[in-house]
Amino acid sequence: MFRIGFLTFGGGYAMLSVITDEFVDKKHWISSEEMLDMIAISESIPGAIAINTSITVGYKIRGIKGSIVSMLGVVCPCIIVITIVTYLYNSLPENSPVWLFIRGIRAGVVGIMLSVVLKLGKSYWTDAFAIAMFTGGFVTALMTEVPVILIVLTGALIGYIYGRINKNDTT
Amino acid sequence: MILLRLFIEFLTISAFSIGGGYAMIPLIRQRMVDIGFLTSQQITDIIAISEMTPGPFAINSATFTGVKVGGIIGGIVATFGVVVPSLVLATVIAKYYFKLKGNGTFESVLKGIRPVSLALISSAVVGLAMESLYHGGINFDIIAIVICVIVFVLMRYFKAQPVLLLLLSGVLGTVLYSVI
Repeated sequence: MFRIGFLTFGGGYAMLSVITDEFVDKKHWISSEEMLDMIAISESIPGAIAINTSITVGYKIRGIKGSIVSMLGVVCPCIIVITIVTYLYNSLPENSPVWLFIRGIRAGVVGIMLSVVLKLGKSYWTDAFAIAMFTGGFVTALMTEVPVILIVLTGALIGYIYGRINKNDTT
Repeated sequence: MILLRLFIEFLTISAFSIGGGYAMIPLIRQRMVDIGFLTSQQITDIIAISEMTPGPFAINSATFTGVKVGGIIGGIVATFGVVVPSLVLATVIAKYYFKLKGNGTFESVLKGIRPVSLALISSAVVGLAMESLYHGGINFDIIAIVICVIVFVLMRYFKAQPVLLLLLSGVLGTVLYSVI
């Protein structure tokens, strides 16, 4: 009933457009407004966006069963592909020319990540609170050995307190 | 024992990374390198492999780490570790989303987390750059820097596909490193 044979390259965001295309435009199982809400949900809870979206979409269509089935649909192809790739990667000989290819790719990844970070951050440049939080997080992560989880929790706490203060100001 | 460890590690990583797969990179980096399951180089390779294969980064990196540490079963166990928090939370929140939507507390917590999450990703990028572009002292990897800049410009200003860019970097790497 619920087959998501995904062939999306480039991670979660690429997947979102495929999901939208399939369920909103072709099958009309959900409206585009509901889809936007689901993407918002998926971005605000922990975990991978593509997984979260497939779970919420599945839930919307067939309840809990739907969410489990669609999650498995996304995850299974990945497990198979990556298992094969990992074995290939591990069995590469030391002096194989493939490593030169991989060295090139390692450099390319940095370029891609830089561009992703700039894109993700574009809505923050005008927000003083966000810039302060970003700077604080960045310096802490780079200069200290504080566990990442603790940094995230601190961010959540400061956000909560800041929200409370603002609320008191306006009322 | 190692399987249980894998499961719990990835469960925690998944539960604390808000903002999708990229937000997971700093956590995976810190946890996995600390434990000794992966090296920093391998983290970069996982990112590259995930960009070039179907599927989300979070799943791919969990599977890769799992298979590397504990074979095929390890891969499956680690992947389920990533998925379980999502399954529980996404299902619950899908149910109550419209109640939470107007909830100020929920919104302000997220407002605090999002920039921090971006900061963590940025610091992970700095870490990756140090690994791939720089070999200590005054020993910069000029070829790698050139490839990195080309990829960045093509991606940011010409909206090129990451898959194609990584293939290009691979080809450039093979040619330049063997010639020079």
